[in-house]
Amino acid sequence: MQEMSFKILRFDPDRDEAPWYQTYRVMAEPGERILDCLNRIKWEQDGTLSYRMSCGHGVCGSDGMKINGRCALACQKLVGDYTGREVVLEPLPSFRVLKDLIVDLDPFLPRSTKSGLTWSAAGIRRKRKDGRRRNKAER
Amino acid sequence: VQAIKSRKKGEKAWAPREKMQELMTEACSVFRSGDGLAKALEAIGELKETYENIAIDDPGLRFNTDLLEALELGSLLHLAEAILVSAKAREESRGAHFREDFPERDDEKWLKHTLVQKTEKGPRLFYKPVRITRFEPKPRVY
Repeated sequence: MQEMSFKILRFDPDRDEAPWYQTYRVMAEPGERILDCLNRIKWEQDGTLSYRMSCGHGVCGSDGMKINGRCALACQKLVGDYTGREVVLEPLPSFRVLKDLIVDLDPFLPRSTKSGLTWSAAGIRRKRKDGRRRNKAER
Repeated sequence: VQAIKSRKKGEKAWAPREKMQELMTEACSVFRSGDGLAKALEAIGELKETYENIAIDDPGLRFNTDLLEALELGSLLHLAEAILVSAKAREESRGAHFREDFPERDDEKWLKHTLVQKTEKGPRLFYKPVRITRFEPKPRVY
């Protein structure tokens, strides 16, 4: 069990004029994931902290964010990999921030997703009618 | 929703949610017993009372996952209650419902679907007959 320090970029367009950083401290085991820490902060310290999550084990991609400057999934990065370092969490770059770590993914998601199909590994791998794999532009 | 949003002081949703999860895993996994289910039902009743005073930190209208989690807990508690009441009534074992106090399957009494209705007095159980089509139900023996 070690104390972890998280510096998180906060922004609520309804309340803040500009984004700002807030630092939280939380106890965590080396084998826990960054997402576990986020949940603990949200549940036990500050319910206003907002981020997306869904499956919690690297399949859905909901918790994509910048972790110490690199884009990654919070459910795939372990506390033990950041021992002794402050962890900086920021929203994914180049998207419009909706609130805290949540960005507007509309420009990124394919039309099929917006019409109700789930964005999933199966969806990405789905073959075209002519049997070829779909290229990037078609996804 | 307004009641939850306007409440200034109260317990957050995560603690009762964790209690509910532990309770259901303990008493209502594949192996269950009448005693365990009755106790869990009582405990869920207490959690429902706790839920009446649940509070959140985030009063905002934008992406309010704090409110979402609190509302979800309300639905989950109702669902947990419905499952417990149904499982407690079904005094037989069938598929993933194994009653330690009733280990045998009982088609005579229990070859029927359970339905639950929410009423003012709590969940009401009723049943509908099973329409047997291509696959006749039979005991799974190894």
